Amino acid sequence: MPRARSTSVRPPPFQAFLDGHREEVYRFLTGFVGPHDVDDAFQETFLSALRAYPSLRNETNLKSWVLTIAYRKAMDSHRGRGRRAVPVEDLPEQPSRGSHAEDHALWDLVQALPGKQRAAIVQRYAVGLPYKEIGAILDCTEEAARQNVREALKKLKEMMS
Amino acid sequence: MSTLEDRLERAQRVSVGEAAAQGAARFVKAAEKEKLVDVVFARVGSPFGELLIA
Repeated sequence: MPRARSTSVRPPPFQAFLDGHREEVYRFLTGFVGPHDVDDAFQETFLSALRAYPSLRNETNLKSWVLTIAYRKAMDSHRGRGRRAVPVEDLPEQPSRGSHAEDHALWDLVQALPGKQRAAIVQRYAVGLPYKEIGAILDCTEEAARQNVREALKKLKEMMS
Repeated sequence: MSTLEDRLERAQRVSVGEAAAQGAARFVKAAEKEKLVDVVFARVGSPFGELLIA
């Protein structure tokens, strides 16, 4: 896959963009919507990105851009569907949740957090984003992003006690 | 004993490469079905100048 010229403001070819960001998006969505819904959310995210891609101009942070789409798609999907019980035997493998059973249980608790806190905690710990970038994705300040993570950790500790 | 933050951060070390690649392949099929593949392109240099490839 060719590299974009350094002097060009044109984004890289979509295939290169997809290859470069698919793992971060998959990791974020697995933590945010859970393993049962990740594939649909992943597909919807990149279909939206593909439709918008030809009109992209001077986008300097494509990772933040696509993670913002992923967050909005996942929020819409979650609101529309509501939380539902999923039979355990229907659950696929959970690749981004660690190998320990207690980690699976912890990520199930993350699913119960309010949307913005859930997004912040997944972006911070599962994707490894800095607070400034989390704020850009959640459309809030860096300090508000930090506060969302603090609140989420507090709630998780309460749920675990 | 690991902290809550340590446990959450373990998710970063688990590989999602194969699952993401499979997701990407499904996405490309969906894009083809919706006739969006014409914008999935790459520009490559060649002895004949820049080419547009699907």
